[in-house]
Amino acid sequence: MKKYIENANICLTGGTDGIGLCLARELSTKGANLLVIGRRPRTETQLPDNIAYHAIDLSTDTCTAEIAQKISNMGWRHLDFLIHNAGLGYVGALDQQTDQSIKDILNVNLTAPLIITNALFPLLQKKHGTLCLIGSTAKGRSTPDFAVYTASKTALSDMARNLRTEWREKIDVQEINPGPTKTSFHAKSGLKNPPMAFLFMKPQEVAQEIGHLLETGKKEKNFTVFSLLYFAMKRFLKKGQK
Amino acid sequence: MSVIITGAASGLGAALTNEFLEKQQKVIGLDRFWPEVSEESESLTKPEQGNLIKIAADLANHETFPALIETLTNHEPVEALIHNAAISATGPFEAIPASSHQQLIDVNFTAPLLLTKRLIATGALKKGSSIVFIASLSVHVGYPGALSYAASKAGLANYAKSLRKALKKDGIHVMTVYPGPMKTAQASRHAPNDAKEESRMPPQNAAQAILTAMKKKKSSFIPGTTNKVFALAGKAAPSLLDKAMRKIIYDKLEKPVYENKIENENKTPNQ
Repeated sequence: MKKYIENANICLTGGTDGIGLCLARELSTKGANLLVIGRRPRTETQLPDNIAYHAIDLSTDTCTAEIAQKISNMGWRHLDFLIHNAGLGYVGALDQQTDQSIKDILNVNLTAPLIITNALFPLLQKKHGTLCLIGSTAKGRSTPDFAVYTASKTALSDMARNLRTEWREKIDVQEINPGPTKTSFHAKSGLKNPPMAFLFMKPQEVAQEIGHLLETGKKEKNFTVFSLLYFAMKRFLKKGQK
Repeated sequence: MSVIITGAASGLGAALTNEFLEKQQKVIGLDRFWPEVSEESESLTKPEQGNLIKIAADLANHETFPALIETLTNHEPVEALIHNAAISATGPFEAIPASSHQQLIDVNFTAPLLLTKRLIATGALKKGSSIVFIASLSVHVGYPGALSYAASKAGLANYAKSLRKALKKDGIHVMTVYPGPMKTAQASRHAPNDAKEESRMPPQNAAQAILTAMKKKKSSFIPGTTNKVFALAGKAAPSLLDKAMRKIIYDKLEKPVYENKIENENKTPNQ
């Protein structure tokens, strides 16, 4: 079923940086009614002024109630898209990772999507909305340097799978797994110089693609090595045209 | 040999405990609640044959972990660590309260990760030891109607995969077990009403098979032939299995069954 971003009520988490920020701009340009959730105070974000924003820490128990309140303040009676994009990472030796880092990654990357989705179910169901989970192409792989992150994304993917079976006729469930993208994510996770960084996708490119996927309703999209090459080629051709 | 087992008081954990005790080994058993008299543990645990040390630990309460680790490291380093403890929550995802989903992730997923990291860092595991993660067949076949449970197990299984690579150089063996339905009190609580008890695997059989698999240093293990076939089918045709699982399980669940920390506070645990 074809869906439309224009005039849709959309709630997006992790929208102050990287792919999320670009996606917020993209959706806003396409005419969405947008509510963006992020961790930082508004003044520290580059979010355009016309986009509604609330700073909520997704690693806390109270985040669901806060988000539900903000949505109700927007005057929304239903939700067309709920996009879980917020994510944390950690790169480094397993036994060096702090307890807090393990808890934060699992809370933000898995528990928050679970409990927020749980709380917003009635709003999503009203007009057969779409739940969109932004995962990672790392899912299912063996990644000793970022084991907790990959495990959280693997769990998220399993959530998408079973929720799709449960919600067959109620709500669409979409899983989008971007590959390596040029954002501050790697630096924040503790990775200084990621290899092959010149091939990484730009967050704008990924955001544009996600915006398109939301409308098509495609169940699952994995940005593979071919996607990386495709975007790299596009950039190259654009340069040539100039 | 000594071994740490979480969730050792009932179900598969009690069966594993019993197996080790019968082999004259020392078991450091963690459980939220060690019952004084429980049919399951009475018939299974014969403490005179080995040495069972019972430790009360609530894996949902991560603040108690530093003290718990201290208790565990007071014992000699162990040859095996078995992450078996898990809670379930069954029913339509939206019919289970958010706090129950959260508690489930805390117990099934976050706790084993925190414990593993701390036990490795404190040298509580001997060289050549095994870390065993009890995941679930759901990782391969899907499990609509137990959404957060299945997610926790999928995450755990993947973590084990990364850990295996990371610990190879230290000579620590990591194994993931994917058990199917078992004849335990917990499984009966969460199964659809029409589920046949006799078709489920007795935990003793699973425990014996797991010990053998540990000895063989397998990296992953599915107890039971039927379960192995299901897992293969799940890998070959996941969407077909999803449809089947919806019919077999999800559509037949009558009312949601879950634990709730807040509601439980005034009740005896494990009821």
